[in-house]
Amino acid sequence: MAAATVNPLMSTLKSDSSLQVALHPLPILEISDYITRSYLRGYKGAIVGALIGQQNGRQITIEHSFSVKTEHTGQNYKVDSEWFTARLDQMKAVHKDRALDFVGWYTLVPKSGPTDAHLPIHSYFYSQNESAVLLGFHIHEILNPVAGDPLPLTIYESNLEIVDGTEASTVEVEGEDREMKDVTAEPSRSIKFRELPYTTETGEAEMIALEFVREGGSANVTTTATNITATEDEGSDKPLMKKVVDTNKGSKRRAVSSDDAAAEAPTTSSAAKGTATDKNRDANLTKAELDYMSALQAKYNAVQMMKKRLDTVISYLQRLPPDYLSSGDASSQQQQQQQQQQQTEGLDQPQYTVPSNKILRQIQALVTNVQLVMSNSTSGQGQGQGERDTDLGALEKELLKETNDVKLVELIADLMSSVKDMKEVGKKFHVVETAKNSKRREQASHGGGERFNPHHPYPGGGGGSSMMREHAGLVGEGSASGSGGSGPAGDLARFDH
Amino acid sequence: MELPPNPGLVDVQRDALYAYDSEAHKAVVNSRPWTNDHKYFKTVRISSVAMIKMVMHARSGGNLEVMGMMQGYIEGSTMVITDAYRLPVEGTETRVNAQDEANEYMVEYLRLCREENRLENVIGWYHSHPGYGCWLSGIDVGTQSLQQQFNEPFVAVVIDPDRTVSQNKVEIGAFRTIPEGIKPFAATNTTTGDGQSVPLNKVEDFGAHSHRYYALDVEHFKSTLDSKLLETLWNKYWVQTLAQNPLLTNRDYTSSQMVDLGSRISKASKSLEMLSTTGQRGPKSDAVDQNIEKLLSEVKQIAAKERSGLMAAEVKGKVFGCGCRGQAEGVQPEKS
Repeated sequence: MAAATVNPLMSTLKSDSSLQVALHPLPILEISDYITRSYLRGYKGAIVGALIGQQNGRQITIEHSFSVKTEHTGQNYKVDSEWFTARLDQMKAVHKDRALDFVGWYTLVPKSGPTDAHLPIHSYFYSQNESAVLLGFHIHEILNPVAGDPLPLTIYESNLEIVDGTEASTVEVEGEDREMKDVTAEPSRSIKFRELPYTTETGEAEMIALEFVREGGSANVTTTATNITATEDEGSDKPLMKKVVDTNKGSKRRAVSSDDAAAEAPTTSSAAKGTATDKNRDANLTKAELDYMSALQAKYNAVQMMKKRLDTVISYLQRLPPDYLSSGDASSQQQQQQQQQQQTEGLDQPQYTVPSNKILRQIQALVTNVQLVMSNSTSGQGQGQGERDTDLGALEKELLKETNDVKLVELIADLMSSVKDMKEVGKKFHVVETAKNSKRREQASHGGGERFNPHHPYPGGGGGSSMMREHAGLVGEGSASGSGGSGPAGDLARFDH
Repeated sequence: MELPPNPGLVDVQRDALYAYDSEAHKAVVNSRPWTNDHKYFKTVRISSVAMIKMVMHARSGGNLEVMGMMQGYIEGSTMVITDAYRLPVEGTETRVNAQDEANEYMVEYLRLCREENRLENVIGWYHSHPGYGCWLSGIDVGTQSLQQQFNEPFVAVVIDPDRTVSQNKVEIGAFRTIPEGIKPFAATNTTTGDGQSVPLNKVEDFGAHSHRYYALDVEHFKSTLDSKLLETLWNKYWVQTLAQNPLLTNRDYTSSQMVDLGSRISKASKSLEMLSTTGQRGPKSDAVDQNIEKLLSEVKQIAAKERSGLMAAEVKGKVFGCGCRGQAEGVQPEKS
């Protein structure tokens, strides 16, 4: 960050503490919850909260969080110490199983780093835990997303540094709370912040809950809208997307059958997508359809993400200086071809990236792996052609088998619903029949002939039950094929739709 | 550290559930709109934060039941849950009871919340049923009806962490008891919220009290900011999203479901046969109809899950060119 150098509170030293931070999603959502709540309830004050997690030597996990009461004193905010201790004890009491403790705090921080306003609170938390990290949430970043979509937050560690000494060194303060204030008051030593890299970590149940929360609702967020035009050629995904949107907007019931999307004019513009789907999320779609939609959306986003990553790689390669390409070291022939091809496409960027052998090697490894893993369409390369063919055959067979199984299950579902319909028809038929019957009997008593068969008490029921029997057999088969063989499933599947 | 003036992060309309007016709410609660209708509340809406907290808590308990409280407010016939917090009670295997320690904790927690200017009241409690589905046991019914007498509005939420993990989908139910003396409807609860069956060893407890409560619809909500962050967060999981193969991972589960379905269908068909030979009509035939309907919805659920699993495989095939029809696509997915 260029701005970091300007901020006097940011350390110019390189991070040597090698603190490793693993961030869980819950604190991020709690911050978001806090912010939204504050806006809607007109809350004026600092957005401050504590982060709790585990600390093992130099490893920190941030797993939970809670908002913290602050007081406005003069021009700064101050933590209510009594309140904080009480709440922290409470949180510790209920997180005994994981032995979570206070590891840091969060607040809103400009992208350029912490300011003087953050210092009083930070020194308080510093007195609680020396390695308390600061999670800075960059609220303005959300509106102007940066390429690559990083989370709008930075985690800072802090250290006391001697600023006027000839050799800047970090000072370890041995937990002396009272001394802290003296130290900060001294001009020669002051708290400096340093950015920490972090990873995101998610527990099993957390992941499921996240996915649950994410789907339904507004799965189509408008943040992706800007990129949609660039991916018009996403092949199979695109028409499906439009179809989904259209049906949603029209808020009319859609049959489950896969009718062609082309029939509906794709009038919905990409930009309107998010709002259209959100508004009508309660439209007459069944739950299964909604689930399917959100699953599709997830796939779409993933594919788009992959494309973005690949674009980054390509543009990196495109911007390599030309002389580097001709030198030929650390890049394979194939890669060169690719690069040269990109070059000939007429790029006129004067600024070149700095070549890094490490990155290039990684890219090369990726390209080689891709060839090994993927199909035979790169038939130019001779080696292992036969082997790959069998692999591919197996894969195709597997996919076909799975397709058959799924179709079979769908067939069973269809059968089941026809059974139900049959029963309905049977019931209606029965009603009509009885009415007829009684009428005829009336007529018969008046001297009419009797021609119809009385041994048919419940036609619908009979039909239904025989169908059910077949059906049960089918299900047995289905479960068998579910765990392996396809057998007659394939033939059956073809009758579907 | 203060919030900047609303920079467009929050949509007043869409995020309206995050607002709360304690005075107005107090007035609503004092008017006690639920007194005349014992099924007044129909829906529970849970915020994303509360949902994740509860699921994680339930999971952290392992085989033990855990318990916590939920804060929120009511709006019409909807109960909105904005936040949840844990209680320091360790449930025994099958029962959860709020003890004195928990009560103290609760009071203290709420006091701190008020000081912090979070004014929502407690609106319910949640606990976990590890492995045996979402419903209320006899003790739960007792607790809940007591709370409904003195602490209205109040709702009970049950989460099954085991089923949540095995099905990869949050298994949650919300319930309120029906006051004693009110005649329950003929067929209220025969299965849990999601049409899931109850294990045999719990069936007795389940059946004995199922007429004492009714289930509310559970929905969840999130803010615009939440969805933005979630989407960003999700981008970190894109590899997993693409790589996962739900058909493969759930194969055992699906197979067992199919076996179960098969036996149930044959049972249903037998009873249908009996019915058709005797030619009876009336309540018994209605029960069979209901049974078939239930089976239908279940098989539809399974089919839908299978379908989206297949979609996952197909997308993978298309993108990486190894599907049956992927040949023309070419290997390199870099098409721009």
